[in-house]
Amino acid sequence: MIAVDILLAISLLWLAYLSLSTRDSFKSIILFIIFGLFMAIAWVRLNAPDIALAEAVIGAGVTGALLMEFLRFLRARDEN
Amino acid sequence: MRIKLLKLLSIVMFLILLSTIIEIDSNSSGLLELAKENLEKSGVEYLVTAVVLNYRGFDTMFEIFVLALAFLGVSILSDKRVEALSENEPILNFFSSILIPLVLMVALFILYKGSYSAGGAFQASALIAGGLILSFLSSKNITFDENRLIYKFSFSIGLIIYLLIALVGVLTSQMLNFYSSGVLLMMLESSLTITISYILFSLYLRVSR
Repeated sequence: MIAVDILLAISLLWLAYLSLSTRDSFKSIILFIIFGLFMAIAWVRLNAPDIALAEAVIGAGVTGALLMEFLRFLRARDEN
Repeated sequence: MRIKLLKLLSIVMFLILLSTIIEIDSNSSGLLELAKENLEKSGVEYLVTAVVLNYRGFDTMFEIFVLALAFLGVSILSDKRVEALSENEPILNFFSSILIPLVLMVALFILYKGSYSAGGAFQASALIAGGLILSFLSSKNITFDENRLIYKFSFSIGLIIYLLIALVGVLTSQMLNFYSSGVLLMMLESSLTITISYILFSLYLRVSR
């Protein structure tokens, strides 16, 4: 299981760096949602299933939808 | 130049956090034995839910009030118009007609499951908020008049019931005791679910209006 844990940690850091350094906003929001999903798996590995449930729903569901909606608002404003 | 400084600062922060994690003693159990001994008196059968809703019940109450205050702050700063999407997407409509009842069922199960296993009010309410967002995105014609009584009721029911249950505990003992039984906790969790899901969904509606 150590290999899975190390791979998870490296991929979390890599996804976070990618999400912050991408030029395209849409791509960085998608990477943020994927980061939330990997974080939920990390919470399970840390023996905290409650937080894993909350992270999966909020990180991917509510925050992802919120960021996408704001991106739509920004793009509509830039066209005008 | 400033970006290089920020990168250096973040690496230093990371090393500091890493050094504090390495020093944690993994053999001490803290208050775990005391928490497990009083589990039957707390009204639930799962340690995490007992800690969140009973041992630290006042903390959760103030968190819910802070969330409600943040929602009031956001709703002051935004307009109240809600427009529906005008496109008709058949794939979205088909899948959301399958998904939304499933989301509701899973959320209610997670809410009930919180008393004996992982789950609880917050997870269920976030899931319901996700389902509400999906139903908003796949509907053609929706009016969301927030002055209706049902929305005011669903915003305030969690706060009122939490306050009443906290008052029961404070008034019936000499210290700041959070009295709870199984029935009271189930009532509390249900009303919390309604309030938090309404707050999260309404926050989504106010993003760009």
